[in-house]
Amino acid sequence: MKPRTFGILVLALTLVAALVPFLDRHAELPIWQHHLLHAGLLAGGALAGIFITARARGSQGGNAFWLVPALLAPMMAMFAMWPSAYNYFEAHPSGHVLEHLLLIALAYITTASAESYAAGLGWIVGGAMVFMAVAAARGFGVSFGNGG
Amino acid sequence: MKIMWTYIVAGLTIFGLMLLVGIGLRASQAGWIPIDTGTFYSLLSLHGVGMITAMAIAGLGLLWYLVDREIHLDERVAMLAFAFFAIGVVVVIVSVVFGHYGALWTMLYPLPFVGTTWPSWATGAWLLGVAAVMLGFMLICAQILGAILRSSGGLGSALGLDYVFGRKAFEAAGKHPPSPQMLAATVVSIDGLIGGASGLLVGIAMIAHWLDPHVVIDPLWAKNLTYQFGHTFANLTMYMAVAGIYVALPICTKRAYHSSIPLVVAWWGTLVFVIIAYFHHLYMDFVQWPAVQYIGEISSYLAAVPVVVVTVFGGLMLIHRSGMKWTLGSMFFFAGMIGWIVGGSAAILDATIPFNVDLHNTLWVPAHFHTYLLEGVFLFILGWVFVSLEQRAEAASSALVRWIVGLGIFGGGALFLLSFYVAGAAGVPRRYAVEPAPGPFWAGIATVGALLVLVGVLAALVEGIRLARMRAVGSTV
Repeated sequence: MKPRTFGILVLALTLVAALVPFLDRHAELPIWQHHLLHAGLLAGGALAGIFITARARGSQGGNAFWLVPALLAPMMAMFAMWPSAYNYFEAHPSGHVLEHLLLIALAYITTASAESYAAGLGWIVGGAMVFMAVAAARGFGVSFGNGG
Repeated sequence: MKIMWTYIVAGLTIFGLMLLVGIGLRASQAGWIPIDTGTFYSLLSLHGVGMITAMAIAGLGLLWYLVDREIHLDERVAMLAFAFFAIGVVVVIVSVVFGHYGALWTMLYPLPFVGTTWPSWATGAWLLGVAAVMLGFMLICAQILGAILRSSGGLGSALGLDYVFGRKAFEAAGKHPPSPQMLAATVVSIDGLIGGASGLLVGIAMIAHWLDPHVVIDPLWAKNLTYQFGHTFANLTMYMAVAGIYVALPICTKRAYHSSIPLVVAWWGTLVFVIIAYFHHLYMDFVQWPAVQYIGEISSYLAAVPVVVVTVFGGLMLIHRSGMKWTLGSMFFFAGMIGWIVGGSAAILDATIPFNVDLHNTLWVPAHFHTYLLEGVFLFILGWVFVSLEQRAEAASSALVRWIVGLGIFGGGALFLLSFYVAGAAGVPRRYAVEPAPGPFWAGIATVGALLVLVGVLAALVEGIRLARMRAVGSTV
C-alpha cells in the first residue's frame, strides 16, 4: 500500500471514530477518559497528515514558515480539550462531533505542516502533540489527590 | 551573522539587567538595602526567569549560527522567533513591574492563584509571557531540527547511528559522522521540543484555570510537567553554548575537534536522560511513584557526566602543547569548562538522594545553577563573542584588561558562588527574603563577589566595544 493511500485510510477511520457521540448520546465519561479518546483522534489525524504529505527522506523540503502552523495547531488542540466544556458536549452530540473534527483537523495541520518543511519532522511534532493529549489525562481538569 | 549578533546582544543585555537585580536581592538579604518582601519575591521571579531566558536567547543565537554555517536557515523564521521572545520578555516585565507578580519562575500550581498579593491579570500576563518565550524557543528548535533532518536524510544519520553501529562500512562509503556542534544542535532541538511540549501543556492548563477557575489541575502533575520543562530548558542553555567549544577551541588552538564514537554515544546519553533527570526535583514529594526517584538519580549522572568528560577531555587535548594564546576568548572558554565541571558536580551531588536529604531547597541549589550559568554558559557565550571579535580584528586584549576581567568575573564569581555553597551546606534555605543565620553574613560576602563580577563584566563590555570598533581585517568565525 502506498503511504498516501494508507494516510487516506487512516483519516477515513479517524473521521468515522469522530462520529461516535451520535451513536451513544447518553455517554457520561470522566474527563480523563475524554482526554485519552481525544488523544486517539489526534493520533489518527497526525498519522494521516504524515502519510498523506509524505516526502522522500532527505528531500529539499518546503518553506520554513510551515513551522508556524505546526507549532500553533497543537496549542489550539489543547485549548480545544477545555475540560469544563465536556459537560456541554456530552449533552450536545453535534457540538461534540464538531469538536472531534476540529481536533482531527488541527492534528492533520500539525504534522502535514511539519512534513512540508522537512521529512520526518511530523513524527516528532506529532508525537509531542499526542504526548500532550495523553499527559493531559493525568491532570488537566482532573485531580487524583495523593498518589492517584 | 546578523541573527547571531541580534540574539547574543539581546541575551547579554537582559543578562546585564538581571545581574543588577540579582545584586540588589543579595544586598537586601544581607540587610544592606531595604526591599520589602513583596517586591523581593517579584524581583526574584523576574531574576530567575530573566536569567534563564537571557542565556537561552544568547545560546540559541550561537547555535543557530553554527547550524547555518553548514545548512542554510531562513533568517525570517529566526526573526519571528525573536519577536516571540521580545513580546514574552516585555509581558513578563509588565506582570512584575506593574502587577507585582511574585510566585517565582516555577509558578507551581496553585501558588500563582491562591492567597496572592497581586492582581489576577498579573498572573495571566506572566503565563502568557512565558508561553510566548516557549513558542519562540520551540520555533527555533523545530527550524534547526527540520534543517538537520533534511540535510542528513533522517534522525538516525543525524545522531550518528550508522557511524557507531557500522563504522567500517560507513567509512568505506566515504561518509563523515555528524560534526560535534551538529550533534549538540540535534540533541538540543529534540529535547527542546519535548520539554517545550510539557511546558506548553502545563502553561495552557494554567491559562485555562486562570480564565475559568472551574478547570481543576492536579498539583503533582503540574509540578512534574513544570520541572520537566524548566529543568530541560535550563540544562539546554548549557548544551547550546557547549556547541561553541567545538568550533571556537579549534580556532584558538589551530587543531580540529573531530567527532568520535565516545562523543556520539555521550550525546545520546544527554538526549535520553536530560529529559527524565528532572525527577530529582521531586524527591521530597512522597506521593510520587518511588521508582521514578531512582530514575531521576541515575539519569542525573548519565545526562551530564559522559558528555562533560568527553567534551572537556577533548578540549584539553586540543589545548595541550598547542601553543594557544591566552586571549580573552580562549580564557573564557577554558574557565567555562571549569565552571561546567564544578557546577555539574555540585548538581549531581545534590541529585544524589542521601545528600539531597540535607541539601534540598537550601542555598546549595542556587549555588550549583549559578555556577553552571554564570561560570559556564555565560563564559562560553562571552568566549564566543571574543573569539569572533579577535578573529575579525586580528587583535587581542592587553594583559591589564585580561587581569581586570579575570579577577572580576572569575575571582569575584568564585567569591559570590562560595558564599552560596557555604550557606547552603550550613542549611540556609533558598528563596527567603529574610534568611536565618548565617545567611545574611554570607549574603554580604556574595554581594561583594557579585559587585566584582559587575566590574569584570563592565570591563569586558568596554573591551568588546573597542574590539568591535576596530577595522575588520581578519576572517569571520
